[in-house]
Amino acid sequence: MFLEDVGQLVLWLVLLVMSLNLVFLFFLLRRRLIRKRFFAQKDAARERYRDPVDAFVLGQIGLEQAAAALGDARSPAEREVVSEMLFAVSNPENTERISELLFLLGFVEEWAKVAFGRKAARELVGAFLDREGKTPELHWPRLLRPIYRMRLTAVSRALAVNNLGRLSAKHAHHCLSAALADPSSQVRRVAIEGMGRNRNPPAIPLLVEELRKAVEESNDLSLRTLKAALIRYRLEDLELFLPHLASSCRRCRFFVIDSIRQICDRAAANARLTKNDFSPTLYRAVLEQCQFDEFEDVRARSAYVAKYFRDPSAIEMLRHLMQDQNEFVRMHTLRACADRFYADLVPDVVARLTDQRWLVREAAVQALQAMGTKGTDAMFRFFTDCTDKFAADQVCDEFQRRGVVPQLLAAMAGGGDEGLLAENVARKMASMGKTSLLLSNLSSNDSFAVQIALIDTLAVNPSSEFVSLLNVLSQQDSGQISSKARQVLGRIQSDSNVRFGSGSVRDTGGKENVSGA
Amino acid sequence: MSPVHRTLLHLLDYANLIILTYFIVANAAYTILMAISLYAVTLHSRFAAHTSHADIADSPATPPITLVVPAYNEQDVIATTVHALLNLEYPEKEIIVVDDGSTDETLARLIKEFELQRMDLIYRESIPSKRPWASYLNPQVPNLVVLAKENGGKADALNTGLNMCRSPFFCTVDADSIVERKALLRLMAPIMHASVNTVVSGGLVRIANGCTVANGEVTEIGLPGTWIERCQVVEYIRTFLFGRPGWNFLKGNFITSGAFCLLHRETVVLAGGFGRDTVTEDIDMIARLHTLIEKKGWEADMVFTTDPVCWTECPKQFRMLARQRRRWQLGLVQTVFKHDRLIWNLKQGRLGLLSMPFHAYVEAFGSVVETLGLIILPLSFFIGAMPLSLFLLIMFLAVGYGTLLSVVSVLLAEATIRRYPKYSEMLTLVLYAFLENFGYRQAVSAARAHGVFQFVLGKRRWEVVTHEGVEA
Repeated sequence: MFLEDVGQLVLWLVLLVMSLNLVFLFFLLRRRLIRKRFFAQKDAARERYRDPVDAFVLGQIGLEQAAAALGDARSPAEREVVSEMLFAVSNPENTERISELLFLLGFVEEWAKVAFGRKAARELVGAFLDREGKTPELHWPRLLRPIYRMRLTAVSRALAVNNLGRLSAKHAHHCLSAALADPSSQVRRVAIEGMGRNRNPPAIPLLVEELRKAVEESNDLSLRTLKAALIRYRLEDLELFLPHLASSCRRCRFFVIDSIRQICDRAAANARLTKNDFSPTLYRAVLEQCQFDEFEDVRARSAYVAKYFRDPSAIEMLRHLMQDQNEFVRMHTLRACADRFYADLVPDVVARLTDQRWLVREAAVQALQAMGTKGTDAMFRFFTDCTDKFAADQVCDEFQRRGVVPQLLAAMAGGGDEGLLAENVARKMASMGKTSLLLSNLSSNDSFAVQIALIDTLAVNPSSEFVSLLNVLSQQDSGQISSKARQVLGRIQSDSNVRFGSGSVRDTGGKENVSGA
Repeated sequence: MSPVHRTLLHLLDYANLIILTYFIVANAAYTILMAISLYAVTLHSRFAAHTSHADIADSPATPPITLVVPAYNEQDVIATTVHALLNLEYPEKEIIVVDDGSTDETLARLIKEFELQRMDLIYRESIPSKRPWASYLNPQVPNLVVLAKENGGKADALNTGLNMCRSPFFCTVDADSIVERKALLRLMAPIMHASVNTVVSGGLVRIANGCTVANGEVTEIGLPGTWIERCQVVEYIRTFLFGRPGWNFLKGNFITSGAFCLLHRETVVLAGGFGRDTVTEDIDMIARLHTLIEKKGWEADMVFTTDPVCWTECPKQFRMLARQRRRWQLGLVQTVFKHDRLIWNLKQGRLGLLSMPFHAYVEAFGSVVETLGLIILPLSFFIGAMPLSLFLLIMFLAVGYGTLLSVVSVLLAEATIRRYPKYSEMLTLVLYAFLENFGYRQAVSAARAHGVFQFVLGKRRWEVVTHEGVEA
């Protein structure tokens, strides 16, 4: 009996699976068809509404006329196209008008309903009509919060908030502030991203408060998202960050000063900043407060802000922080003073080349490199006299990475004081076994003078690769180079005979040129 | 009935019971994963369709990434791959190519193409690996470093690259893979938006066979021509679109493809780098990270998302496919045994109680049960130890139910950004989703079972799979 049932069961199961497969296939085809139709509608709508949208943007037609022209967009595809087109042409000058048009077309109400429910949407719409801002108070029932937190219900709210966040800053601010109370982290994330995009100053305290919650409480928002929003603000808004530099939460202070630092970095990409670009209160807060903060990360980041002051006080602050007991403060300070303006700090930076921590040494080398001729000369001199292997390795690494060696070789060929210094640097490199780049230049450089100088330099500490190259050069060329190569080969040969073996030639086998430090 | 015959029948009964139980459990697990993935993938895709990741691309808060590319005898593709990686959209990135003792022109082609100069750069060893004997860089392309070392295997090459890496995150990329331009931004997005530290972010790997590739980019998506490649397309879709998103939703990520995976450098260094004692260093790394996180008591996450896409070439011949699957299976079994303390580990939460047992008993050893089932079930039926109806039931569970799972995965592929554009291709895919359950899956199971036997026999070697290149 059971076995007969099993047979039947199998039959039913096979039929069920086959039917489900067919249902899924049908669903697939239907989905494709619907999408195809949807995108065709969108294309058609884009064609239809291009002219009225352009005319509205150019100011050729007013709000009412535009609303009338675009008001016949009823289907989801058409409405999506209209909102997309309006957002695409939105800029700081016309965003207010576009927001009003979106409102007239009913988009604002539609999105607000999805994002906050009917009641709050009514409040928002009322505030929009009164042209006064008001953030609706939202109450998410405690019992239903787990449901609102689910992605299934949150995605549509997040998309609606995203659209509301693209309205003019004033109106968007109230929608985004309201969305910060949403139970779903996805919706709140979108609200925070919107606040960052709009750079509306009243949102700064809200963002910092969310940051505090993320640091101190169990907030499900990402610190990176919050920071990314904060650093989109402008230099003129920095004053609003100031109260938070005195926060009792040290990690909050760190995020705030780091955000200030990155805002400054952004501004500095387009203009040379000086202390006149900052308010006196911020200037004093950095010099007097952040420099001496008990939290090392705050001290480290304050160095980056101070570097933009470009005045004697900033130089003093950087000099002081360069000697901080914390290695990361030293490292960040050195990175901060990688600027020609801080050439006065060259001796202090050179002193850090022998720091115990390699990250600090590396930052010092890069800073000197960025400080112009004064910095590079100091680095060359340090390198030639250096007895610290690790410091010398670090400097040499930077020479190679930054492409300094060709300049060095050109100076060698030029002679004079510079040529002598360059020759000493090359000799030092050779004595350290860092010969790969010198060898490749010896075989490929066009200048006889450089080649001869290089042969002399590399002969200081001849490697097997150098000797092989000399052999090749002595046979291939017939002029100065071959005779020089033969001469040096002979000298190396006689040296090794005197030393009863091959001790004077380093056998690297070509495979030991990557150094450790 | 002789005692021998009776014993044989008893043994077959037990074997059949095990096989039946296995298929019921496996199919139940796959069905749950399928339902979860349908939910997770469609919702993710709906939101992702409205996200451009411009915020991440613009923001100075986006952490720098190093792409570590281990390369062994990749002379035909390496230059194109590196060019494509240099063109990826990401604010701050460095590329470290580690030539793992190639015997072909891989290194020479890189030097020529990028006008690299040999330098003596500092190499700091934080993870033991074979030291590079040369490093190459062109100051004009400062974000590309090439290291040359003796052959030591992929894990060793990755460790060498990791020692040279300076950024907080690094991404492992196979030298023969094609990474989409925005893939790094998409891979970083979940890390940027996570409220807890995210140490791993994995992306989707799709098959490039049949697609049109120009300048290291997939310009047109298409289906490959042979049945074996098409079956693999369905298989990849099934693996990446309902296996991994399902486990990701349950917070039980155990497998992330090393062909394209973003990892937190410091955590990986603390975990001891990539292990050289398994042939699948990527799975082993995830297990190591889970162990480390548990040991340190950290709150950290590992995520998998379906929108960052990396395209890879799949084998065109069954011999190569069998080799690849043998190696994957060997690696999985090695990892499961190496990290067996994770199985039924309460401290690991859903990973220990659901994911690890599933991967150990269903994924690692299931192939043996499936392959033996294919022999034992007909045998039992023919010698009269099993009635026809029961035989049919088990065969249905073994073969028929798989068609449903495969067809649903094609449906999932439709929900993602990169779908096959033509109707004919979609219908072909559905057809192969149905057909691959009759022959292909069993053959792959046999190859995987062979991998398990290799493990039992103590074999540890890496089998080389040669590729013929995709259409350019």
